[in-house]
Amino acid sequence: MSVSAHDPAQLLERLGRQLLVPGVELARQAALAARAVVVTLGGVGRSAGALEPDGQPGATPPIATAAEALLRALAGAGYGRLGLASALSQPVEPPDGAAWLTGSDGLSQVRTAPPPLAHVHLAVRPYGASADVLITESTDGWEEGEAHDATVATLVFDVGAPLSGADAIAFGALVARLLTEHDLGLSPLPASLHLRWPEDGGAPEVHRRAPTEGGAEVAPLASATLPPGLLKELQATPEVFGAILDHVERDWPDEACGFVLRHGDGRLEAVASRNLQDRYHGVDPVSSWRTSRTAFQLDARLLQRRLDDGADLAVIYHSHCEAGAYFSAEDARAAAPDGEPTHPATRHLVVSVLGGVAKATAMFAFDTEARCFAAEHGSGTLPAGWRRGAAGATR
Amino acid sequence: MAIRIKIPTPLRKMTAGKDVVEVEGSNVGDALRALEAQHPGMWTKIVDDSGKVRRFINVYAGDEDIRFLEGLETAVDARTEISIIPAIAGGV
Repeated sequence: MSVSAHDPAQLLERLGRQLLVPGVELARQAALAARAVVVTLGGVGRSAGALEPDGQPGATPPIATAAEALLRALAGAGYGRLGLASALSQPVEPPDGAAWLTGSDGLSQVRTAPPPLAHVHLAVRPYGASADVLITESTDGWEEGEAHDATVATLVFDVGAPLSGADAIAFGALVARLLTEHDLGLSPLPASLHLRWPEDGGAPEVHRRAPTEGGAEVAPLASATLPPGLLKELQATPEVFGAILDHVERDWPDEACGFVLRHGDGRLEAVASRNLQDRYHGVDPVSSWRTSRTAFQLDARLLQRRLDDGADLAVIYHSHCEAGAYFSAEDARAAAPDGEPTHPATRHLVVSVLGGVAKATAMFAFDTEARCFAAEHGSGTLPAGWRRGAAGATR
Repeated sequence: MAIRIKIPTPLRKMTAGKDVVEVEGSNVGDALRALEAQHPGMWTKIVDDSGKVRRFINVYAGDEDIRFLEGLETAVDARTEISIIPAIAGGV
């Protein structure tokens, strides 16, 4: 598929015009002015080479074109607050008519954008491109660890090769349309939408996963939380806890994962793992529909090697980016696929990372009576500057 | 030719506590079917109805997940150890 028959500059300009969505009351569409959308780009800073078009140094990378198309289309639909967190040397031109959230460092305004907030992560993939969408309606209750599952969607644009410039505009406009239709209540975002174009240029194959599909019912958290335990001990071991927070902040906006070993002498050691989710997503975006933006897959061989050395697996940790420190339905399915926890004696630490800063931590264990995961007391927002006090370290 | 299959702790109740089972086979699928013959019920713990490795199970041939090789068709010989390892995964 291709839109190259049209002039890209004209297409981008047209996307930014004020647009009334048919069948929607004006007042309803006007309410989009209160919503924020923040866009991040995959690979920037770590594999930026993948973002540059072959043989055209300095040219606009396709993913930046997709971001521009997305942001212009959102501005045209009436979204009031838009931002791009990007380390690209060539910034995307801001659309007219929308407040531009991004500060000069690309992140400062993103960190303070209040909900309702959608975070869209665009990434070039071996097969084309993906957009991960995470919608946070409210952060009420996050400080008490009451955050609920966020709306998560992965949109896959499979053209059989890394996205090229001409298709990038179509991709950005498609993501904008799906997000707008969701926010206007016309059509909920699917958990995943996989569009695959055949080589002969015909219509794309469509795999759609409904928002609730692929998930067993998860019991609510036990009302009685566990007494303080490992979370308190971790927080009192700043070289371990600090290493975890540094790791999850460094990997934002991707989820980070790792584990904490307890050695024979009682000493705790934090071990960072690679997040292998993108590798699984790359070979099979239908079965592994999530990317590392909204999922993690720990390096199980690394863990096995470290456990063979004789240590105990005390904690498995991972981060949630632009979401709360809760134990999600996806976390529970993975930790106890048949209802039985795979590692019954191991606790799970979840770190909420907002705009690249670790904001809250919660520790979960399987409650064998309630048959579900429960949080330890003391889970919740990190006190400002606690690391400085605990470790004498500065942030 | 005997192939060694490493069994993870949660599945050892089905192998009478054994952490390694030796089977015959020339690819991973054959080895897992031989494992099923010795310890009935193992196959469905590892492979789903559509014939793919279950979502939260990883099967390694040597150091690589077979999803990045030829799947259940991945060839093995006596030098290859097969490891079944529950995935440690999740997401928002």
